[in-house]
This record gives sequence, structure tokens and C-alpha cells, in this order.
Amino acid sequence: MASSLHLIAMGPSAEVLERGLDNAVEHLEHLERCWSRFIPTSDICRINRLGVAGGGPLTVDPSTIALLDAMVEGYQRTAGRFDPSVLPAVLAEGYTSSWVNPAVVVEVPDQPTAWSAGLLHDLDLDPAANTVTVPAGLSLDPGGIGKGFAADIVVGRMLAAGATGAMAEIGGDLSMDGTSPDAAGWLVDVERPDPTHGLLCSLAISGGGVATSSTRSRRWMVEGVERHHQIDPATERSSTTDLEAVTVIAPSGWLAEVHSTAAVGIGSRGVLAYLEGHGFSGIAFVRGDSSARMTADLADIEQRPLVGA
Amino acid sequence: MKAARTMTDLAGPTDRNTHAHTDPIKTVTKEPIMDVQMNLPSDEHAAAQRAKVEELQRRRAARNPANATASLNSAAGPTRGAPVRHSPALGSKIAATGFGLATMFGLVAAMGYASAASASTPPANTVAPAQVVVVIHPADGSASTAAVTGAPAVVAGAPAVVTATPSQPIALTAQPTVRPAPVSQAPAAKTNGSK
Repeated sequence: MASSLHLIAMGPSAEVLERGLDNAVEHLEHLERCWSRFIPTSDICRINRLGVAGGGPLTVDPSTIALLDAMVEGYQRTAGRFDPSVLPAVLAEGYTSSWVNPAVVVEVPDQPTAWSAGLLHDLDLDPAANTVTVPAGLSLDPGGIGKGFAADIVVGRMLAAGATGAMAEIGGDLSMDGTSPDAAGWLVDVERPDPTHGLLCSLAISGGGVATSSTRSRRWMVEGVERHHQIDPATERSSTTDLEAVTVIAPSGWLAEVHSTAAVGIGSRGVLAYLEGHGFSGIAFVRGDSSARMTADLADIEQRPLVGA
Repeated sequence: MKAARTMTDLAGPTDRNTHAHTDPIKTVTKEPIMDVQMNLPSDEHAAAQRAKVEELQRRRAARNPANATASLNSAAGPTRGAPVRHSPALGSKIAATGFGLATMFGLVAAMGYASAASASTPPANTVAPAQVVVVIHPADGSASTAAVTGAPAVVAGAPAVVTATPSQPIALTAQPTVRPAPVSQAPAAKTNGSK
């Protein structure tokens, strides 16, 4: 996943935590092998190859079935604003190689069928048989939802291993559950989009997930035009939103990721209404503003002054 | 079956909020905490990581081990010094799957300190301060730091058996509550854009 990893676990003994951590790290490696779009043998790469002409059923790992289900769920909950099937647009915008190792290039189908919105609905999952049938033209980018979903899974596994509380952060996406080290809750520092500007605030959260989607990270230039990885499904281009980042607190990591991706594309005028309409807490960073905008329930959160500007 | 269906189809009875929060104050004073930070390279990055191993080994050998660790509470924590490797199976597993050596050192340091601290477990029912293990491995390859604070943990019951949890979507429940974070020594996570 080419990301940072931060695990916090509480439990009755160091031995229990050690086992849980071992289990978590091992499973993350497994998920990477299943979900990477830079590993040709991964389930996602196999699905994308099958999507050139469509077909199936293709046997995949149970975790992949679960991820695909979450993708569809996310697409529906955001009315298509979160759409992991925009991989052709991601590639067309120039994100064709691994961010951490540019020598590793994503596999591009030879003659992809034209992409169209809504293809995700034609994905046919059979969780009993662990198979998927792929519609022609569909290719997937697990991207952010993979990190949030993996964090959820890892937390569940650490709790199942005996931890009384666990938190996993993968690439800035968090999931947390159970007893927290501090009585106030799980402590989460919200960083400004430009990390050199310091932290915006520190939160104590009862559980669930936190994700931040940003148009500031993972940017590149194509023929003199700056692009980024946040694709607007409506235009199939890098989003032109005036938001630099949106942080969402939701009941799970993958759901936070899905809605933060959707929210960042909405723009400053509607982002808080979107988040509050879905019942989420959230923070929106508008480009050029030194202060952030927060949902009403976060009104008592103190914003720290911007540093280093 | 079409994919367009509810999450509970796959989630079944799993409900993450069934893990009820116990008395936080009591928990904080009894239970050990493990806090591990590392970088999680993707598989394709393994080769580059391995290429760094020799250099990191040289750096580490040249470094005074005492400078790479710091005890926040030396009276209760283990003696300063190089981390003791108590979990060779875990370490070798990580190394074999492409984790950098420095990351492994960080992880093993956490394991080592945790094991060392719990080796002198006080009698049951003794309320001891929280054991906190913090390991930070900077992405730039600079020195890893490890810190342990608090007395050894009370071992409450037999170690749990690690069981496989199906990779399932999480059932959705209520929106979490959010409030300002207090001033705290507890480990905190950080959120930002994709890293």
C-alpha cells in the first residue's frame, strides 16, 4: 500500500498484543497482494484484465469480495461522487506508475472498452463462491477505500486476537474501536493540508473511522498542467474543487474515506451541508483560507494558529 | 447476486460496536498499550527496501544503541540499551516479506521492550500504571526511537488465541462522538491526505 502504518493496541498482556500485531501485519501483506493495482497477480489486476471484454466468474479472495461490496455501497451512498471505477480517467490524467517507485507501471488493458458511469452496478458478486463477474469496460482503483477498509479489517483482527482496544492508521486513514488509551477517546491530530503549517486541531473520538482526502498530495504535471489523483467522475478529469482537503469522521474507516472523497469534490459551498446531511462530523480546508470550516457539532473544537506561513 | 445490496448481507452478525468500552480509567491503569509506527511499503518497493538494508545496518552499527532509545520513565522501564529480540519468528517473517530492516528493528524493539517489561509481572490484582511502548521509525531513515513508560502490566487471564476474522465489511452503527482532545500522554494518531 506504500503508506505509513501506525498501530495502537491495548490488551491484557504484552503477549496478546504481540500476537495481535503479528496477525495484523501479516494480514496487511495479504491484502496488499490482493488489492494492489501494481501487482499483476493481484485480484484487482485480474479483475481489470477481465474487464477489458467482460467475463467471469473469477475466483478471488474473500477480502476482495468484501472490498468490492464496499465499493458498490460507497458508490450508492455518495450518489456516484465516489466512484472507484474511474481508473481509466486516473491513467489518462497521468497517474500510471507507482507513487513510491515510478519504475513500477500500472498494467493498462490493451483495448479497454469505453468507460461509462454506473458500470459498478453491473459487477456481479457471489460471496458464497468467492467469485466475481466483471462487466465489459470496468476497471477498478482500490486507492483510498482500500486503505480505510484495510484499517477496519486490521482493527477487527486485533480485537479478535484479544486486544481490548485497537487503532490502525494506514496512509492517513484511521479505524479505531474498543477501549482507548485515554479516557476521553482515541486521540487524533488533524494535520493541515500543508504539513509545514502544523496541526489544525486535536480530537478525542469514541470510535469508528477518520479519513482525509486531499487534492494537495499526489500531484503531478502533464504538459505544463498540474493534475492530482482526485478525479471528478462527472468530468473524468482531476477535480477543480476549491477545497484542499476534507476530513470526515464516520462509523468506519472505509465509510469515512468514501465520503471524504465525495466531499472534496463538492467544493466549499456545499461541503458542510453534504457532511451534515449524511450525519457526519467533518472539517473542510478551503484553498487560501487559514482557518478550516467545521460541521456544527465540532463548534467547540479549537483551531490552532497556522504556523510557518 | 448483483453487487447492489446491503452491507449486512456480508457483514452478518458482525458489529464493531459490540466491543463495548469498559471503564476507561480502570483500563488505563491496568492494561498495556502497544504503539507501533512504521512505513508499509508495497511489494514492488521491497527491492528498494532491501537495497537500503546494508546501509542501515552500517548506520546502526556505528550508532550508540543507547542513543537510539529513550526511556520516558527509566525507573519503571527496562534498562536502556539495544533492543532485545524476543520475537525472531515475527521479525523474520516481516523481513522475508519485504519490510526494511529499520522497520523491523522498530517493530522488534517494541516486541522486545514489551516482553522485557512483562517478564517481571507483578502479582495479579495489583493495579499498576499503564505500560506504554512507543516506537517511531522516521521515513527518512534516521534513527529509530523507542520508549517505554510505566510499570509492567498486570496479566489478566491467559493470552488470547489469535483467530482468523473473516474479511468482511463492517456493520454500520451510530456516528462516533467527537470532542476536543485533552492534554494527554496517550499515543495519538494523525490524519491528513494520502501518504
